[in-house]
Amino acid sequence: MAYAQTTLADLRTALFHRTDAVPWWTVAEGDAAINEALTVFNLATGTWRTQVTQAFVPSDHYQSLPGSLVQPMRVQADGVPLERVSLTDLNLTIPNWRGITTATAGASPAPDYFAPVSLSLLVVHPPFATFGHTLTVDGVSATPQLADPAEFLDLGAEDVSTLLGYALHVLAFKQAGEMLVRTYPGWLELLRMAGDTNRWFARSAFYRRAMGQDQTRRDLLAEAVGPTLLDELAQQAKALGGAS
Amino acid sequence: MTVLDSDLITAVQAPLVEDALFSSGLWTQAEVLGYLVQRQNRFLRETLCLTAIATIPITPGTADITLPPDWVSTVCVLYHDLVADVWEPLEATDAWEADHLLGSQTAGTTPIAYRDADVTESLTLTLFPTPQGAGELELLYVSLAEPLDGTGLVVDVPDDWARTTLKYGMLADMLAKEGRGQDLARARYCEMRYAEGVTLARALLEGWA
Repeated sequence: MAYAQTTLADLRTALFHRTDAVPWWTVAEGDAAINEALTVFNLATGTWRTQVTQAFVPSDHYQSLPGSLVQPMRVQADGVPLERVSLTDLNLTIPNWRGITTATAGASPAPDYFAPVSLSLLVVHPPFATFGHTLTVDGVSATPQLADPAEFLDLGAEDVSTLLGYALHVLAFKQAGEMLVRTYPGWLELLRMAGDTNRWFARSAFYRRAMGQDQTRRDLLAEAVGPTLLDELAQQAKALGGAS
Repeated sequence: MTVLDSDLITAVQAPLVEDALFSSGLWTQAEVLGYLVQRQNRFLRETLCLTAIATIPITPGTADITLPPDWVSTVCVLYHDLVADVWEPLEATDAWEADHLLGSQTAGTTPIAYRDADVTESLTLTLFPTPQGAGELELLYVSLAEPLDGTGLVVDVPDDWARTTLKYGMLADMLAKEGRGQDLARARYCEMRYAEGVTLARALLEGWA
């Protein structure tokens, strides 16, 4: 099949097919649900990536990153890749690292390491002591948000179904109760895909509990196991009648 | 960061079938804004996703350092000996260890450890041993976000989490209140979605496995 672009208009149409195009939801709500699906999808799988090149601030270990970048994955100084470490690694293994630049006697003539401090701050060691150098960062970008019907994303056709299932789940929140519970599979499928892509997330307590994989549940006999967290939510929704 | 506080207040209206003025009376605009501010600060504390840097001068012979008023938690502390021009990372400790293991203080000592506010008053960091020479502290810490007033101020959380995680956090608080707007099933679901966002933020800070 030839490559085809999936536009916001295509996603809107496909999403409203799933709701029978009832007027309970507006076009704006549908777009918000689609954009939320894209956002959660990107945070969980790191699908959209970007490369940012900026001037290296001399003699400063702390290099700020732009808001368009969510997570730095690979860092280059003047085109040379740096090794990823942590602040703890620097504190424990390099004495007086904070006082060393490339101009320090005996120091490396170029940066060797980078350590993420937060989503918007990197430590680079040792930093260049002069102007005229660049820092190039590859990483997960902030999720592009679709606003114009003709706008499209680089998105595999195989992922559209999962995104639409999640978007339907977002829309169902407004109806609450059984409708919200019945669309849980759309959300869980997105989580499952995230777990397949991101092993750190798959090992988290949240993921294991949401997917019913926590150790306590596995160790107990099937008939003695209590309801999963999602079963409890469904029971609560039934007991409360679902309406707010 | 480009998401505005007014954007998030608008984002919670459609799922709850509310209009722009919350005319139903189940919630007020001020109340919803309060939930946003609380969740914003809570998200920053739980994820450590945004940090601030403060340089604090040290008075020789003074062990207690006043922390910045927007301090939430400490990420890393470095002591800069201005005389020797040497930077030393300080280890976190507690009052018991400081009292029993670090020994007596002598002239010319530089601190090797710190503890923040476990037995002393709030917003105080104590150095052990007491520094005797000229120095400064470089403090990496999680800070409180700027106050929001609902008039279109930028939310101090990365956009992707502001649009999703903060939204669900606000919904969780709105639906868990003791009042006519209570819907405990959806509140618990929203709390799960908030926890999902916090987990994803922590996962991104760790990197892909």
